Amino acid sequence: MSAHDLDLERFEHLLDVHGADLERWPEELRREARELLSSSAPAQLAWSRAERLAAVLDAAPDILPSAALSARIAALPARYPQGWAAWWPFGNLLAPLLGWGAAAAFGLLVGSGVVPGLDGDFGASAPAAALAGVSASGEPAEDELAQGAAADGTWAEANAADELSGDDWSDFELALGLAPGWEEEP
Amino acid sequence: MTDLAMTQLWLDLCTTMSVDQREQTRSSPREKLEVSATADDVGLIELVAGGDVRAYRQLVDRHLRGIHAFAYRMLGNRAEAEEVSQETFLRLWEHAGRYLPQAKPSTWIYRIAHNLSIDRLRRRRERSAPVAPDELPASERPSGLFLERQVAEAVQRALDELPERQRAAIGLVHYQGLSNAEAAEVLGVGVRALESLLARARRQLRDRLAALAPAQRKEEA
Repeated sequence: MSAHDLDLERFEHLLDVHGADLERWPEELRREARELLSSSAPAQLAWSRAERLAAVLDAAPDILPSAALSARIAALPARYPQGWAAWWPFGNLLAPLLGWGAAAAFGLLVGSGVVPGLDGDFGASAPAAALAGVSASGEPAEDELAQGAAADGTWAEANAADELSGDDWSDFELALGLAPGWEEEP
Repeated sequence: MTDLAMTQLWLDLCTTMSVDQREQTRSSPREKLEVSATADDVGLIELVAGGDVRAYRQLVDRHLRGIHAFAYRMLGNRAEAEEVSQETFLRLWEHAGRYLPQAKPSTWIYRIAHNLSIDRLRRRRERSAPVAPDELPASERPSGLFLERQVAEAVQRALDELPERQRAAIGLVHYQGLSNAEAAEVLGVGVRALESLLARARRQLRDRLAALAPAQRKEEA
């Protein structure tokens, strides 16, 4: 485009399109616009009008976002998690996992009877006491009595401790056909 | 082939592979992209799509001011501008994976804000209840001077009176500094149509704000 193509009417239209800042004009139009400005008083008036409009528009300052808005927007990812986390209603995955893990560990410890403070004064549970060699009432277990008696050489007492009730023997002998008084039965 | 030759061949192969891996890392920086002040917006959006909160905050730091200012120019109401800004960044967080790198990231974000603003203006019309434009808060008035405050409010009123698309065109090009092509992309129109919007908007603003430029009237007289 030559300088002759850029007449005043077109120049005014281009001012409306691109504004008064010639640096924002398309590069191929800048030189012609400057040439016209240097030689035409009406073009200078039109440019001056466009520049004043830009200055008036700039008198309306940008409204800055408040700190509260910035904080709300920065916190959006926590409120609206992406992916699978969006379907998980309990927040951070670590918290429930830790809770479940702690509960499972406590259950295992109680079950194995090695929880400190749950024996002795507080009364031992049967399985825990059995592992500790103490009866539920606090008396030594029968196996321990037998072992103690055997160690002392009192075999009779050990046998007595091992001896089952009379009914049990009768059942056993009955099962073998050797029950006492079997032959005495008519 | 002797054992020594086999060993040498193995060492050469390992060396070549490690060099290849280094070259691959250099040629694909996206894979190693980290959030930094110099990271480009496209890279940050890719990280946001993967759930990277730091990248999201970096984008918020870069674009919140412009998006908020644009929404305010469009709506003339501070509360609604805040809601549009918040919704824009929520969409960015949730839908970053849908971003196509053909568009500039800033253009994509402005387009979200523009669409949300247009939705609000449409709902306003349906309710036929115009929202009163805000007066500028005292802390944000140019210098607290009465005249400057009046000019600022008159400018915002003149912007509010523009048709929506003309207002959006001026907001994007004059206030946010987007190029005509970028603004056209935000509005979903061709560049010529955008330039027509700009020309009509500037003519209308010049007419309405003529009273604010007494020196101009003197010159023309």
